Amino acid sequence: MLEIRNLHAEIDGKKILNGLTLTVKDGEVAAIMGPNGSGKSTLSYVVAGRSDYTVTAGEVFLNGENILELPPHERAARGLFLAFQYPVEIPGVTTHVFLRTALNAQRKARGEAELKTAEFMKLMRAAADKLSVTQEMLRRPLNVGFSGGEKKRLEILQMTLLAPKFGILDETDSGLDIDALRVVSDGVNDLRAPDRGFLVITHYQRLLDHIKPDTVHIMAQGRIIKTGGPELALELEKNGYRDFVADAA
Amino acid sequence: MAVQLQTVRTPAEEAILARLAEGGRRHTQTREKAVARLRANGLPNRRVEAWHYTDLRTLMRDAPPPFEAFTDDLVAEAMSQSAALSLKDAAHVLFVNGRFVRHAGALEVVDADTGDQAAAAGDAYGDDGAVALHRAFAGRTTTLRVPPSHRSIVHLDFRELGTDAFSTFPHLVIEVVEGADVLVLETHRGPNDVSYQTHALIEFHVASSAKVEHVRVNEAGNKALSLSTLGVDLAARAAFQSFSLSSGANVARHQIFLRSLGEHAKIGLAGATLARGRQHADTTLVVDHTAPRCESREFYRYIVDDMATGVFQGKIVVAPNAQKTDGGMKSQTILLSDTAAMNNKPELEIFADDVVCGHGATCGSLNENQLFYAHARGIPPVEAEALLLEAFAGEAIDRVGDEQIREQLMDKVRDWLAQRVKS
Repeated sequence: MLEIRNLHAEIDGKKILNGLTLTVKDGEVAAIMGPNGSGKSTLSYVVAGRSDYTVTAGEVFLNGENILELPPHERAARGLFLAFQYPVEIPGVTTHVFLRTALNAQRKARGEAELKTAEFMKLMRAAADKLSVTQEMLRRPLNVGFSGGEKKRLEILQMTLLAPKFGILDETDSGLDIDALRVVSDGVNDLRAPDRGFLVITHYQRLLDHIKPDTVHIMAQGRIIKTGGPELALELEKNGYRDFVADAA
Repeated sequence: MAVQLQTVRTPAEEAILARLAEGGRRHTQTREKAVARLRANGLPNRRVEAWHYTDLRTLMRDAPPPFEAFTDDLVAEAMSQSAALSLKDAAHVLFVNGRFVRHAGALEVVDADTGDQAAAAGDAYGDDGAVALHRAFAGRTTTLRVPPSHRSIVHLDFRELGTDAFSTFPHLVIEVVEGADVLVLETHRGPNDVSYQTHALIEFHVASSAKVEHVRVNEAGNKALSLSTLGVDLAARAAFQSFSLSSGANVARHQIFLRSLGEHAKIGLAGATLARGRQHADTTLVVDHTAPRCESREFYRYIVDDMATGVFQGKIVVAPNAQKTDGGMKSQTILLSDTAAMNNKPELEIFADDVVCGHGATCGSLNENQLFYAHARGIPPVEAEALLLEAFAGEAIDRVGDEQIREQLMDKVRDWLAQRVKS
């Protein structure tokens, strides 16, 4: 469960989040929609722990523990996963080496035994097959020269392997064609579980046709201005953000 | 009236000149020229353009005596130690404190008093201060002839031993005959806490259509001064690749003077330099294209920590007739501390009009986006940094063709990074 209470955050003195409050229960898929510049990506970065943002007030609880004081890698080890809008290229680091390093670092932090290469490869192959990630891709440097679709599929592959307690998907649909969108959505849907929550950040209703949310939140000017069911997304798609934002102002 | 500028000589210069005055060395034209240079110019220093960032007048505090005390015990002790790197099936050529000791394997090796080698080679780098210093003192020349048959593998294993400061001046000439194919591994290892100095000159004469892969590993001791010159002449269609991993010595300069003398020669120079503490590590290249249609690529990576200093100077020269030259040079650095320094000096001197030449140099800290991405996946900061640094050096090491060597080089990088975590 992810609970965000009255979160305020800024970067370079500019306020981006202005008292954002949001709860996503175990097993729930919550969608956040909002116009450009409403602070959606900032929210994902702040929750994941990016250091260039300053939290000036508020709390973020992951399964009852306030994680704001924890460095990013410890948040990850406690089960938080962020699928990046723009996955980062790391030349020279082979994809499967990166994945194994990440998984074993998390296992180690949780006091679990590290996986041997053979065990890991078996796990990785099974997950990769489902997401149409080829062995050739896994041998390439991480995200280097990958297409938009390949990068996003790899994000979901990482989420599958790391099996987080809570996943944040930051505009995972951006840069995807229809086929890739389906593969990625299927990957996310496979991971839906009673003890796992998701926060899906998106601009468009389209993604929510594939990943059906339980709740939809509209974000503007750094906070949630309206909360509803899936029908809210359809309403947005028809009328745009303008009415909601004007009401809130 | 001629005005002479008199600079005060440093203790090292005094010691060198006093030793030269003692005589006892064979007179050759090359040596006379080198000695005259030293007398006139002293040690190379910041006033000399090519030595601006590696000022030996400051960095070379002393000039310890040439090592003379060769004994069987010394050789036995050297042989009981391990080399900086091992290579299966290699013809092993052992040098102890600069002198050729023995070789094993199928290879023609001749070790003799120095003749006038440099004159025969056209003396392309006789003006260099480090070369002059080497020639003034070098006693013997070891000549290796690489046969044309199957692929040869040679390990030039330089080991320094001792507890008192000393200097060595090894000189090697490697003749690679037409059509030959050779892998030459050159390793240097020596004791810590001894202020020894190595002045090495290795010259490759590569005949047409011959192929050379050269890998150099410098693990000189932490107080050592290591000056190394690689001279390379390439005939038509020859291929020459050289990689250097430098992590040793207090002061290190590795310089390569390479000339392509025939058409369609292919040149690949690469290196990884790891420097910490107060180390000073310099790589200086002059790639001289004197014939048309040759290709050269230079790819260097530096990781500089603490208060260490890195230097990269790369000069690509294209002679007026060397049309269709294809040259590309890249040097990239990661600085790990605010007090680490890097000096980058790429130069192009192009006198032909139909060429493609480029260079690029970057210098910065670790990429924050890459670090955050790794952290967000659960990789702790220390491990994430090591992963990125290993990858950074690894991209240079990838240029080494031999897998056995590549793996060992990666292990060395990992060891170096592990020490960083400990301290």
